[in-house]
Amino acid sequence: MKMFFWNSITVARRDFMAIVATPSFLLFLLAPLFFMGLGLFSTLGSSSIMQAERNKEMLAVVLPHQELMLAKRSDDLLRANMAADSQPLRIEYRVPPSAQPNYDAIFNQSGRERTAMLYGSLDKPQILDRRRDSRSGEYLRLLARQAVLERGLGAVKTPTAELRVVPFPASAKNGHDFNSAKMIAMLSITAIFMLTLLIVSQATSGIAEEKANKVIEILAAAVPLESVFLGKLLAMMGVGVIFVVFWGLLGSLGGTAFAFSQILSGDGAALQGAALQAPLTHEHSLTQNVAPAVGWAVYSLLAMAYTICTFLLYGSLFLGMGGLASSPREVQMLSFPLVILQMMAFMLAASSVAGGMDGHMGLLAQIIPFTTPYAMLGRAAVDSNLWVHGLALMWQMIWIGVMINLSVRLFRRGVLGSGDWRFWRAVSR
Amino acid sequence: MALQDFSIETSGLTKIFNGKTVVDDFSLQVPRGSIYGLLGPNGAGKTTSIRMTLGIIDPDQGSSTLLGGQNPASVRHAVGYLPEERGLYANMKARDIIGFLGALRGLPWKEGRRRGAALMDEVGLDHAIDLKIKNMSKGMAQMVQLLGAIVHQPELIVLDEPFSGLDPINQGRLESLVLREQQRGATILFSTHVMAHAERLCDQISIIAKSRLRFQGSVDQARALLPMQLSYAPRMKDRLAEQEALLPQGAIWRSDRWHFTMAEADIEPLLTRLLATPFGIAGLSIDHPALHEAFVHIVQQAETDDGNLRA
Repeated sequence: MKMFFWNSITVARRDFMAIVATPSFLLFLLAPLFFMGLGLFSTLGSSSIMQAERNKEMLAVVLPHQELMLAKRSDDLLRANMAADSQPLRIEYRVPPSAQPNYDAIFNQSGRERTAMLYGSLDKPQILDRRRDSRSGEYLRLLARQAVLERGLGAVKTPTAELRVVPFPASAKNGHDFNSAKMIAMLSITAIFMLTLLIVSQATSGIAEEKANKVIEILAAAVPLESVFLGKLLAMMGVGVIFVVFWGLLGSLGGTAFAFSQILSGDGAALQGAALQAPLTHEHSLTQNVAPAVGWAVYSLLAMAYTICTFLLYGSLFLGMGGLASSPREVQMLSFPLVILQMMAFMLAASSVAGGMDGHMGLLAQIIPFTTPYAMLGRAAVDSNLWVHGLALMWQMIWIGVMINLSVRLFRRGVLGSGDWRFWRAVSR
Repeated sequence: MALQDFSIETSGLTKIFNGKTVVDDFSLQVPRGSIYGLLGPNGAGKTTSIRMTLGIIDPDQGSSTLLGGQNPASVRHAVGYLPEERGLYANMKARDIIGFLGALRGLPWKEGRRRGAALMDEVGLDHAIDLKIKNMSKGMAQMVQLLGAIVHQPELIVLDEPFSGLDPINQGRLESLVLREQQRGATILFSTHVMAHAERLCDQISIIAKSRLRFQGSVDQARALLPMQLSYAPRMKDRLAEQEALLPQGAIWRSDRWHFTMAEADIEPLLTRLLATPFGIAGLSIDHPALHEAFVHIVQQAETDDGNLRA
């Protein structure tokens, strides 16, 4: 057994170095950056298109000079109390060009796309709108009312309400916020899924490459194929760890840099104040409220364990398939159904998390070996029972053993033309 | 002979691929400490036999014992193997790959790398120790792979067609290396279809043809399967018909000499007879047939037998 692990570590070490010590690994490591860049680019692109569209559209207010100034003040006041993403369109302020202006002509004047227009007087406001009950028309109605109110109030000082924050009472199992826990579960399994999807599929090309460069016979002669496969899986996991550590560090640095920039830019007082006062004034702190049922420490350990299980389980499957491929085209063709399987497993687990772990779907997801890691991590977020995880991890170990064994058998049969891939035949020999 | 006196013992190894028997009843005994040649034409089944012997592929029938262990897997650390299909990681340096191949057999990486450097120096490749495989010539890479197969100082070294692809200089180096490993105490089994190497190196040989072992024994025993080749010059160059009557059937008169073959045991009586005649003996050369001729004879015989069996 000691030799078996030594062999696995030897293979893992070589594979790991072969992957990491290449310039292409840097590209792989930075791959999410490209995705993020692409996402940012498309978001910026689409938002700038939308912004351009919005800039063309505007509201119009056509009132006598005094009322116009009042309307403008009211507009400033209203906008100050609105969130950035719910701001109304910009307003074009104009005094009537004549005693009897043609408002329809002003409304349709070229150069601007006016979506609604307030005219007449504040006592008897008139609104032109492109359609009934539009948001723009509603805003102009509100603006007119506010302006009238402002005019009536004059210099009267309005009181400011005192704020006290009281979060919703805990309603989840074991005193945790159930919905937040579900969100944690969903985020965790999505992260595992993405990470596994990114790294595990490389196993197929890895073993196919080994076949192509004929090293596989040397390996098969020197060490048990099982330890070759395990070594390759461990190397992949090592790559995964580097990936997680790299992005984890980058995320932490980014977070710290953001916090400092907030402090330096003046929002620091608010940030510092929030950080110092929140635990004292809030009846529940954020970390107390948003936490998995088993607690962050155990959850982290379980997440690690289930990530390893996912890697080994899917990795062995991909390795087995890779053993059958003899060209990059075959690698792609054989990987595709496995990626679909991985996605189906993720979707089943995700829907079980959303629908509840005790339902039929949830139980199914916890039992099927390929969904167990996802589903059980989801369960850890909402249920504090730990013994089920012991059971699940043992279940996973059995299946990892079976999968590695089957993959090796498939490989021996497909590549070396030896052995019997039918499990019962091999066992009975 | 006791079990432990053989480094390799196989019994009735048989392999069938897609309904075709590629190796049939392969039974071999390789004495410990010997250099053993497995000879055979292309496609005879040498590589499959070696793979089954080493446990790389499972036989359909039969069993093999390596270094006294019933399970070849249990003695992997004491075996070195150079497969017929050479393969190395193109981006690795020679030193690293030798270290890696040693580590696969249980040698610590550092020690493997150190020994690798020493071995490279020994075979005159010290300049290539930090060269990547992709930048090496085919022969150079093959030598590196061979060094990787012996870096852990195995008790048993199995080399599948080790000389193919090497230039004469490297072939000489390889032969020296094989002899040195034998002196160290290792048993060496190598396959080849080039007889000269077997003739120079092997204590024992097996010849495999048409999927079956056709001969096992020493090189001399193989040669002895064919009659001796004689070239006789009589003192008299006339009365050739009388001379021919004294010689074995098939004797040919060419360049003032008789050329014929005969069994070793019959040579002395013939010489006695010739000396008693007026023809006498002006010159005589007796040559053993080369292993190459014995090999061709055995392989052709196998083809005839196979043909007869099919008929």
